[in-house]
Amino acid sequence: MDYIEEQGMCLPLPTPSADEGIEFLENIAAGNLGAGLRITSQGKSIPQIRAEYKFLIERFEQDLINKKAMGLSPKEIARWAVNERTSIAKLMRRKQGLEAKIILDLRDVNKYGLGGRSYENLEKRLITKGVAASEVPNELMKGAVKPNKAVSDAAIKGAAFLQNGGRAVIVISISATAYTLLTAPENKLEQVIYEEIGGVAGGAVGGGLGVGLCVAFGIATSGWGLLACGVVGGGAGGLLGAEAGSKVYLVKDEYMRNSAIVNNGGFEEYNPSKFMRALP
Amino acid sequence: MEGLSSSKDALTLHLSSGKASHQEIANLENIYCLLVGSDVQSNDSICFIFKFKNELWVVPESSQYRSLKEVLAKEPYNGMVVVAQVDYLPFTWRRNKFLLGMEGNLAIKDISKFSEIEDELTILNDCSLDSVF
Repeated sequence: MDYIEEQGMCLPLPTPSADEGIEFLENIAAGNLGAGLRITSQGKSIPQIRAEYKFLIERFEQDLINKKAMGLSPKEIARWAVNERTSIAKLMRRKQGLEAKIILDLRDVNKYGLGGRSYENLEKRLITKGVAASEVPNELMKGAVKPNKAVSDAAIKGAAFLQNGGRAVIVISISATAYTLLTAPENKLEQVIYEEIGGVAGGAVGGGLGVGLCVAFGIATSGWGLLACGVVGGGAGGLLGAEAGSKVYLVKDEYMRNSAIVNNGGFEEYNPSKFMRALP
Repeated sequence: MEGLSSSKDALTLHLSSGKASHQEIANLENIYCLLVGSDVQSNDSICFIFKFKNELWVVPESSQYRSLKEVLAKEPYNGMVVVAQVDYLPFTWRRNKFLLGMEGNLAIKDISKFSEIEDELTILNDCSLDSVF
């Protein structure tokens, strides 16, 4: 029995070393869903996807400046900008898996009409809103460079955390999780993981309740502890959904703010540096 | 008819349900221009939150573009506008469309609801309203 400790949390695992503990958990994950390898790959690739997205957007913004300098008409530039931005979005969707891409493309069709986020559809939409035809190109250019600061920041700073988060998601995730993670800012990643565990596990006394139990008994609340709890919970089967995941997060959030809850549960008084240390 | 309108010293919001709210501009604390979601997820939209001392108005750009343009062009509001991003849609928003959802609904909310969104906002200090709306 070895203990993997990360960020102040302890979790007993039936393995002789930390590395084997990690492998053990990943094997369980793969076995539980039968799609573990693909999801593992997805979890590891998300930070790269985010970084690539940031790169493409920055290059797009620079290209837009260059196009303006070339003296093209506003309509020509707007058409190029809309098409380019849509291409980037579609490229990112493809990287999240076929299911995600289909769902997201359908959203576009639902929102913008047949053809999705095309220049013509966006133009129609703006005119319907009351934008003068002469103003449409300027409005579309503005929309195309709409800031994406949170994604950009998270792509840089969040990578380390996301690697752990990705592993946690490995256990129970489906492709829906990938696109949620893609745009989750750094400070929301842990919450996203909780929600997705609750919502996607489909299982049971599942991810959701499994994690809930972990919180209640103070075994662990994030990182590897969360992963293991997800595995235990997910294996049990059941119908608890994302509601459970959300509640679990709220419980934890409350726990963090209110040490009385900790005391009631028999925990030591809350201390961020010792947060959710395993009970003896 | 539902929508936002303004007079010299006041704003009025009419909902389709017939409910309406009339607020003095003196009670207006901030106007948030929220860039919600991402084009990658196809859940992007722009929504305005008018934050008064005692209530919030949710005014989506998709249905109120023209009235927002008219109201925001007026001098008294210029310094009150805060541009912010909600890049990741919180779970409750995605599922319940509680306050904004993927596409906000015109609504009047109690001021206490603001605490449910303020933690989700990334204030974009380097963005002006003119650059995004």
